[in-house]
Parts: sequence; C-alpha cells; structure tokens
Amino acid sequence: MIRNMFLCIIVLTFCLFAANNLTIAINEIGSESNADMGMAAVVERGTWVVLFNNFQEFYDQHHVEIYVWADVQYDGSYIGECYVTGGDERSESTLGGPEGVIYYLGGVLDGTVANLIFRDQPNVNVPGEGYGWCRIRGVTGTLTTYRQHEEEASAQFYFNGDSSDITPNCGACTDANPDCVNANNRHYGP
Amino acid sequence: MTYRFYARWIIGGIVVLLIVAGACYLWYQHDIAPYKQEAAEAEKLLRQSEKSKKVSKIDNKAKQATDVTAADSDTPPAEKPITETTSVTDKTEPTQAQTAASAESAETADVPVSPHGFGPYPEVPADYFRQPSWLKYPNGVSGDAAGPFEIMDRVLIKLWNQGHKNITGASFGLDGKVYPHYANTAYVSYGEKIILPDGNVYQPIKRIKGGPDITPFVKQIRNGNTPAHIKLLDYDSAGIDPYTFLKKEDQNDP
Repeated sequence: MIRNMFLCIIVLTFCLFAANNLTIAINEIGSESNADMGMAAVVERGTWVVLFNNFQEFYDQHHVEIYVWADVQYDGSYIGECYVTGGDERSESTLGGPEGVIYYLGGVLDGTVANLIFRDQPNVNVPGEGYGWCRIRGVTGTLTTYRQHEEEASAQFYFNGDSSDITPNCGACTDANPDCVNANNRHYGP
Repeated sequence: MTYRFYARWIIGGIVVLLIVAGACYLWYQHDIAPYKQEAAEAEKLLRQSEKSKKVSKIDNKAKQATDVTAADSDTPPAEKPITETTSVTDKTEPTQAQTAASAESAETADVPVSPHGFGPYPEVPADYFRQPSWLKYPNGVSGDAAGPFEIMDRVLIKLWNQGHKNITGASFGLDGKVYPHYANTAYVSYGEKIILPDGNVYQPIKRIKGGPDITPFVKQIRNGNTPAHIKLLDYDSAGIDPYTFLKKEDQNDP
C-alpha cells in the first residue's frame, strides 16, 4: 500500500514536471502572450500573397506583424523587432529597438510590420523566413498599492509554397466572388 | 525484511521530495530575480529623488540669502527647468528684482520640484483624466521610466488645459516626441508605395499606434477599411517635441 503511494507520488511528480515544461515550451514558441492581466504581446504571420489582377496573378509576399497592447490601467514600456527574408532581400522593423524602449501612459496599442513583396516575377514562390519578438511591461498603482506585469511573445516563420492557398481558376477576384481566394490572402483587384 | 523494504521506499520518497523542493526553490529564485533587481533600482531611484529634493530645498534657501546679482545675472541655470512661469525682466529696478526674487524663492521653497530637473510640478486640473505619475507613483518606478512618465504627463496637462479633453494617454519614444493618445484616433505610418502592373498603387501600412481603444479596429485599419469614427493621424509629423511645446506660450494647437 505504502509502496504504491510512493510510486504514485513519484509518477505525479514527474507528470507535474512534464506539464510544467510543456507549458513553458508552448509560451516560448507561441505567437501570442497571455492577455488575462490586461496586457499582451502578439507576433503574427499576416497576408502572404498580393493578387494584382482578375486573373489570379500574384506577387509573393512575406509578412510578419508584431503588436503590443496594454489596457488603460497600465503605464510602462515596450520594445520589439521583426524581420522577413527571401532570396537576397531582407526587411525589418522595430518598436523601440537597440537604441531604447518606448514609454507609455494610460495603456497603448502599437504594432509594426516587416514585409517583402517580390515583384520581379509574378506567380513565383520565394522561400524565406520571418521572425518576430516583442515585450511589454506595465506598472499600475496608487499611493498604497503597486503592481507590475510583463508579457512577451516570439515566433519564427518559414515561407515556402505560399501560393498553395489560392483557388485556381476561380474567376475574377471581386467582392461578389469572395470565395475566390483564401480568406487570409489579400486580393488586390476591382 | 518488510520493514527494511518500506524504510528504503520512505527514504527514497523523502529524497525525491527534497529534490523537488530544492528544484522548486531554485526555480522560484530564478523567476523572481528580475523583480528583485527592479525593486533595487526603484529603491535607488527613490534615494536619488530624496537627495535631489534636499538639494533643491538647500538651493532655494541659498537663493533667498544671495544678493541682487542673482536676479540680474544673465548666466543661464545649469539645467533649464521646463516651466511656464514668467521671469523677472531686466527693466525692473534692482531693489524690486531683489524683492521679487526673494518672494518667488520663498513661494517655490514649498512647491514640489521634479527630481529630473524639470522644475516645479504643474498644477493638475481638477478634471484631469488620470493621476499624474509623480502622484501615482510617489515611491518612483523601476528603471528609467519616471522621467519619461513625467514629461508625458506635463505635455498632457498642458494639452488638457488647452481644451483637448479626449486624451486617453500618451507614448514617448526614440525620436524624442510625445504622441498623445486621443480617443478613437490612431497614428499611422505608411510603407513604400508599390505600383502594380495594372497601374494600381499598393501602399501597406507599416505602423499603427494609439490608445488601447483602437485595438478592435487594427485589422480594419490595416486593410484600408478604417471605420468612420476612427481618425488617422500621420505618425511621422504628428508627434510633439515636449521641450519646445512646454516652453511655448499657450495656444490652441500643439
């Protein structure tokens, strides 16, 4: 009986360790931080092709967005960076950056985008990668209370085969034909 | 034999529990290390603040004791305070200047002064939308945030006094400009224009910034479908230089 109890304790202990490690791993590779405390950091892969006419012709686009958000109760600071690459090209953008952080009062929403549109040749997929990282810190308090919180998010993306979501030969890309392209694609046309 | 068997398991269990407890303790220490550091920084800042307050009180007393040369001197102060108060003009008689300087010093001796060299704190309007940072965080804040917080609050108070009552906050960054957050307003910066083969121009939005109230509309703004009630301002030109703005005479627009 006691032996079984100890066995259970040991198994439970290892299970708890495993669960803890799993949670950390999800936070590390996830693109969105927890918003429960009124603060969030978000990294997203956005639209990935630009259609430019009614014939489903497109330019490949690599696109990473980062956002930081804090509700009105917080004052604080944030920083972030993102980039995308493809072929020999690279584009990057920052919130703050190596030169310093950005400070805010009464909450904030700030977002920036790194994107590349490969215009040399239409209908060609350009393999590449993208990365985003951002962090926001906030404090809130009164004469008697003081609370601080922090959210961070990062994500790595690989761009390959981007055009696979385009519906082939579905006709004109118009609002009347909304199923023409994948909802995530930005269609550019009449 | 049975006792030995159980004793071995009991000892093993205790060892495992000790290892778990030790690991938890180490993890806890690792987890709270940054907060400890921030608390230490806040304490340091508080000490600096107290020191500068003492220095400013001593300076004020010294000013009262000095002669008229202080009032007549053209030498600028080592650190120019950002204040909206008027100074004594050169045309004033020396005796009047002396009296005025002494009276001013006596008045400012009890007025709270910024520990960041910005001079006396401005009067906070009764209907101001928030508690300014120097009142909200009397013990200071971690890192170097206290100075930027104060600059932003000073700008917002002046804007508020000018009639901009739809302010919800502000941000202050690398370019040295304060971006007041107005309700239902977003600062937008555009990326490079791209001319497509069919002649259409595609210009993606590179940056969106504002108060937290614009959060639900970010995707719409990015896709060019900005809701009617959201006002867009040019990020590259709408920022306010706080030092110029706070020294300017009152006017309606920053």
